[in-house]
Amino acid sequence: MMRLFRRDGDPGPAWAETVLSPLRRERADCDVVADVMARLRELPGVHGPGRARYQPGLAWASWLASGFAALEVLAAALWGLASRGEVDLRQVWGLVAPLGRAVLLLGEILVGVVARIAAAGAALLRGFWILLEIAGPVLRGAGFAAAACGALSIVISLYVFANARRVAPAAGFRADPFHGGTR
Amino acid sequence: MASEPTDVDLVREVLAGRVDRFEILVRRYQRLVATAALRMGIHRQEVEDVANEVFYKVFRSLGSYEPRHALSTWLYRITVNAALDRRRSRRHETLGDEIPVGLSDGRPSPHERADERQRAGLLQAALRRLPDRYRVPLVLVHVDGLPVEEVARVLDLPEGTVKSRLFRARAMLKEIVRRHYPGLAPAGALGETS
Repeated sequence: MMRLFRRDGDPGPAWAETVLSPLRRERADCDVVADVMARLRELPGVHGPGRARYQPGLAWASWLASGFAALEVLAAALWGLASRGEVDLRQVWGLVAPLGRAVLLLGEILVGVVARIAAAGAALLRGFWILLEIAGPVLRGAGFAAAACGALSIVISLYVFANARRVAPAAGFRADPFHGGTR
Repeated sequence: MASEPTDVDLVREVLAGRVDRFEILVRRYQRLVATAALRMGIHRQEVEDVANEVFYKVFRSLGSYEPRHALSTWLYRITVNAALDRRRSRRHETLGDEIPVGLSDGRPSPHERADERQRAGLLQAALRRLPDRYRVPLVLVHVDGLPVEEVARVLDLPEGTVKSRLFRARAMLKEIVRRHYPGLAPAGALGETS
């Protein structure tokens, strides 16, 4: 196949292999492992071996899981104490009620923040709508004006072209278009 | 005994954050990269710098590595580009040693032995006379021994283009050897070329 494509002046692969054989025996040995790894560790976000990378998603999940586990332990302990009669139910309620109030308060704050953001967004949308309503007639007027100007410019162009045709020099059959004549 | 991790496994581990695993890849391929750089015309004393640069670039762009091709192909590509960049930036400095003094007429001085390294040096000087687009495929095929298909992948060129460049490169090298380095021509080839 190679022979099919052979062109003038090409001495062929065998010639090249023979001539370049000293280069084929050339080898380079180097040890860049330490330098490369040191350079890589200087890159931002790259940590050395054995150091765990901080993963925000994982951190959140583990915090949440440990929080639930703590709650579970607390609930189980209280249930155990109450069922054996070592703790009065009112005492348990005294512990649980403030916790519930705190959760409710947190929920209220969260709902309040979301409501405020929604209210601000709605106000912005309403303002934009009012602006559109006010600007509506103005925009319609501008559209009419633009259309009238366009129609006027067409009329003027027609007049100019008609006038130009009337005053243009008459062209004869003998006029030579290649030497300055007109048709 | 645990088997050696494959290149693809190591790349995945490095991408997953285990940067220390990159060390194995460097150890595995540093000789290949250094030798390829040397054969691309990089001076022996600069080979280490080029290898360092190549592995740094490999690490930075590891996310774009396509495992359907061998890692060595990708490494060749980055090495060739790094070597060409280095040669371009050093061209003005190396202009003086393009043709070794006293050898350009093909008659080695009595003090210089025609040993292997000297011959390789002469060859490098002859190859430097070729434009990059002809020299690179010639070296990859006839020195590094890569098949044409792999060279096409390394250079991101169609196979036909690589083949036509090889024809042209061999013809040009033959002419350079005939004119400037007749001592490099294979025995019996001088008469044929003139």
